[in-house]
Amino acid sequence: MRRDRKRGFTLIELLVVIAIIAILVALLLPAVQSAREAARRTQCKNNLKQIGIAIHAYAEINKAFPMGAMGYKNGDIKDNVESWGWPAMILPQMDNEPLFNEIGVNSITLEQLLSNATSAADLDILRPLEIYRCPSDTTGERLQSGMKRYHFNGNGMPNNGGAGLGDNWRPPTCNYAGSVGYSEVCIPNNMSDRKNDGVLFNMSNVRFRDIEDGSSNTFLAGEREKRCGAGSWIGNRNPRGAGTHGADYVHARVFVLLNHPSNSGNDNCTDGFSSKHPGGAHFLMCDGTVRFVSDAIDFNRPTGDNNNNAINLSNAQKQALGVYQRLGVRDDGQDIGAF
Amino acid sequence: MSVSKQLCVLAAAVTLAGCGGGPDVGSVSGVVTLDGKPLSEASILFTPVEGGRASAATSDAQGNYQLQYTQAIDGALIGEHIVTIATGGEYYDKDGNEHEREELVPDFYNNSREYKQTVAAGSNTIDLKLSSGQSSGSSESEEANSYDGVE
Repeated sequence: MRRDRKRGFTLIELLVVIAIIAILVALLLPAVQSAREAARRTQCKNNLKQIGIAIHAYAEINKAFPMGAMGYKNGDIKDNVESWGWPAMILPQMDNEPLFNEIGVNSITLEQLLSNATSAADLDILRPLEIYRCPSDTTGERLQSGMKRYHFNGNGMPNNGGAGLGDNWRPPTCNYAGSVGYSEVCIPNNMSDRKNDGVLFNMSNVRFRDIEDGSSNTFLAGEREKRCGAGSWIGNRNPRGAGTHGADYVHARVFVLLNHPSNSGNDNCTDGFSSKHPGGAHFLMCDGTVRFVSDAIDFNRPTGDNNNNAINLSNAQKQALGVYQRLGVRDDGQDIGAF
Repeated sequence: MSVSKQLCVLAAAVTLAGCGGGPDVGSVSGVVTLDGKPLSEASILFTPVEGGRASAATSDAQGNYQLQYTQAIDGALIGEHIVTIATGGEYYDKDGNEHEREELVPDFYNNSREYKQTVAAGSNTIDLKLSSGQSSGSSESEEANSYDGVE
C-alpha cells in the first residue's frame, strides 16, 4: 500500500503542473493570435524596402530621386492635369519595364492615356500591383466608392465621360505615399509661390545633396490605409482642376497627425500618413531603411492654418517643428534625436 | 500550503503584469463658438507645449467636440496645450468629393500659437469661445478672451 501511494502524485502537484501549463499557454496565445498581423506587417515592410531599393536604383541612373508627380501639359508645368506618379516612374527598377513601356510613362501623359480611352477595357493595362499594396489594408485591388477618393472623373477625362466611364472606373490601389514635407500636397500653379520641403512632390528634382538633414533622418515615403484614403500607383488626379479634385493619390505630408483620429473636415488624415498596424506606421527613409514610427512621436506645427497660401517656413518656425515634422522636412537644420 | 501560496503570488503577478502603461491623458470635450454662435465642422488641434502627440477633433453642427488622442483613446495629454482651430481648406463630403471651405476663424486662433488651454487629469469641459475681434500677436487680449472676449 505504501509503495502505491509513493507512485501517484498529490493534488497539489497536479495543480502545479496545470498552473504551469496554463501560464505557458497564456504566454503563447497572444503571440499566435497576432502572428498573422505580424506576417502582414513584415510583408508590408518588405514592400517599402523594395520600393526603397528601386528608388535608389533610379537615383543611380538619373542622379536624382524620381519626380513625385509628372504634372505637365504641352511642355508647361501644370498641377491641374492627371499626372503620372512616382510609383509609375520607378516601374523599370521594380522589375516591371514591360508595363512601364506599355502604359507609356515616358511617351504620353496620364491625362492623354485616360482621355484616349474609349472603353473600360482600354484602361485594363492600369492593373493592380501587389507590391504597392500593404496586406494589412482593406482597400482591395482598386479604390472603392465610399472612400474619400476613388475615381478619376476630373476635367482631364472628357472622353471617358463620353465612353460611360467617368465615376465608374476605379484606379488601382497604392498604400505608399511619397513625402512632400510639411506644406500642401500640391504646389500651386505658379511654382515660384512656394517650394515643397520634402522629397517626392509635383515636378520634384531632389538629389542626395538636397537632403541637408541627412538621408537617414528624412522621410522618403510612408503608408496610407483605407480609412484615410489609400492612393493609386498611377498618379494624381487633376490636383487643382475645377470641381472635385485630388492631389493626395501619391503624396502625403507631415503637417497632418500620423494616424489622425478623424477623417472628416479639413486638415484631416486624407493628406497624412496612416496604417492599419497598431501603434504607428512604416516609413521609408531616404537612405533606404524602413522604420516603424510610433504614433506617439512628438508633434508640433508652427503654422496652424491649412497652408493653402503658405510661404516657406522661417528659421524660427523650423525650430518649432516637432520631431515628426523634422523627419518630413529635408532641410530644416534641426536635430532629431532618438525617435 | 507554501507551494500553493507561491502559486497564488505568481498567478497574481502574471495577471497584473498585463495592466498599466498607456499615455497620461485626460478626456476633453466642449463647445466651440465664434462670437457666441456654434462653429460647425471646425478642426481643432491641441498640441502639448511640453511635447508629445497632439490630439484632434472635428466639431459637429452644434459646435460640440470631443478630443481624440488616437482612434482608440479619447482625450489629450495632461498639461498646457497650444490650441489651433480652423475651418478653411479642403474637406470631403459624403460622396467623397473634395470642396474648398472658407476660413472663418481669425488668424489669432489658427496661426499665432498664443491661444492656450490646460488639460487636467480626469474629465475636462473646455468651451472654446472665439471672438472675431481677436487680433493676432497681442498677448494682453488673450487674458480678456478667457472671460468671453466680447467687448
